[in-house]
Amino acid sequence: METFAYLGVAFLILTVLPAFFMQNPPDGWKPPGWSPTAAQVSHRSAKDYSLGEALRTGQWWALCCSFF
Amino acid sequence: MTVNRWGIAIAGVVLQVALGAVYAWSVFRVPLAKQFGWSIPEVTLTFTISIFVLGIAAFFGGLWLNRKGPRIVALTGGFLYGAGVFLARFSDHKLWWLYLSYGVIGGIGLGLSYIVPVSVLVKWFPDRRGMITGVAVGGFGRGSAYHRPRRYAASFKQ
Repeated sequence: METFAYLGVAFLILTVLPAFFMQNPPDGWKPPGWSPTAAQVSHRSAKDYSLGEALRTGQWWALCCSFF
Repeated sequence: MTVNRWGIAIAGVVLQVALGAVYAWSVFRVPLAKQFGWSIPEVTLTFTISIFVLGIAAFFGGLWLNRKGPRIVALTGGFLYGAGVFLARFSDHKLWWLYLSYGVIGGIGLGLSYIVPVSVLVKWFPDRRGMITGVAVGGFGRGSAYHRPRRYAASFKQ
């Protein structure tokens, strides 16, 4: 049972330390010298859905069912 | 301050590898069943609870992340995951405690932590969204490969 104690401490360190590095780039950040190609732009939806809007789409429920 | 996005990618992979250990739950199945006289399905239910709770926690973690940013969600998740696994150490002859510690507490930690590297890294790698998502989630899968039954055998009474 000590295994769980050792693993718990190891996991705590291995998750909390990287967690400090988890930060979003500033708004509008892009890799230097990069601009999206037409293909990359077309892969992105033109619209960002809110949670409520997403819940009213058929695609959301289809994904939900397939993952379940 | 300049930030190296590859540094963030490495941190994200390390985090995911640590989380991925949950997929290796089956290495504990037989040792726990033998030591405490539990049935295999009883021990396996721990994993079911953990993954089910992961799904619920990930939903709320996503909402939280949008409001408060990724760091606090990752820190809370990592702490709960580590704490849940640590507390599982005290489940001798108490199956419900195993469910609560590894399953519920650990599962909440997993759900909160899991979504953070994925969400953060696609923002840092708009030029390689598919590649970086694969790297981050692949870490989760790889995590289980580091846990081998023989390594833990000595810790349990056979």
